[in-house]
Amino acid sequence: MSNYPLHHKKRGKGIFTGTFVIVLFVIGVVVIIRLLFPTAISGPLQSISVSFWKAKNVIVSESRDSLQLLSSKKALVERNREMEEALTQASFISFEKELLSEENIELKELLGRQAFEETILAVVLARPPVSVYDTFIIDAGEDDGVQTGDRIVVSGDIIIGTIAAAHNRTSTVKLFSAPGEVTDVNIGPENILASAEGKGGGNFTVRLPRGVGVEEGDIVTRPSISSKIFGIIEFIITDPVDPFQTILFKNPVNISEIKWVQVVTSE
Amino acid sequence: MFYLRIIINALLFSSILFFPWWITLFIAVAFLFMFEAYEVLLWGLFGDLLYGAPVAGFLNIEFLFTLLFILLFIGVYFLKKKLILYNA
Repeated sequence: MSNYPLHHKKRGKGIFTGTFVIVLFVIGVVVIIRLLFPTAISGPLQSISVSFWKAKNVIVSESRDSLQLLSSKKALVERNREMEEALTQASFISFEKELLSEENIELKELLGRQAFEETILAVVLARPPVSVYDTFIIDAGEDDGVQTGDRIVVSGDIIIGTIAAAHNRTSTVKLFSAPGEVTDVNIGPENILASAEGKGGGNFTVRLPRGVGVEEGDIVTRPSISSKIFGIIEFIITDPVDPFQTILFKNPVNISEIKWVQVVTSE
Repeated sequence: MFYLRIIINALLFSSILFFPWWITLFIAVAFLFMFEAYEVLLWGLFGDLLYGAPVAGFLNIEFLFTLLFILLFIGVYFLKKKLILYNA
């Protein structure tokens, strides 16, 4: 019986070809450089990518405006009316908020505490889900006064992350909702202190004993003299056999649609 | 085929900058099946250098894409050896 296949087994090249080894060596060297000098390579790469990101933002914005022109006149009039109503409502809420904010500052001053902060406005160049790490890239860096650890807020009141790495003209923002990240928060009107775990994409979970007075819609804040909104409770999961309840909450803004952020450089 | 390789490299570069990470993963896997694409490893490193940050949920590893693409490269290499399509 012929054993041709056994005696003449094709010998292909192994996986560890010269090219593969060289590529792995290059990767190893770059990884070591990155670990020793965190901003040495990332900074220039982000600087190069800035022009592409900005071009993309312009193209997307122009395309959206052009597509609006294709909508029927009736649909545009209807949408305009809805936006005007929403704007009127938002103006009332904003006015009320301003009054409450002024009262809050006056009360703090009476108690000998003043809270003020300096912020830098920055454009978001890249956001999840482009990044798998739940990070943003913003167009403000050390040249603008940004430092590692600075907090990131949206619309002045909603805190979403901190600066993980500040390069010359850009910075990497790590969101509090990054998977596995644990953040201390105050929950609800009674400011119940708890640890929130990030689940990615602006979502969090908290475990509290069953019976603790929290409800869907309660606001979650960070413990600080200038309380910033951290999230809003969306859902509470309870199980009769579990002495704890799982609270699901998320950022009040859509992380993947944020265009502008403020970097709190001093408080 | 050389021009196709250049086009796919350009597509991977664009994907890392603009598209969701899972689209980048899909393009990388397709590239690995079409060619012996060592460039995929370098593009993974590029993505990690751009966006990487130590995240607790990922064991504080900042080179997820790089590691993933290395594993994919090895996995696809051995898979292709088993497939008749690549050994006809």
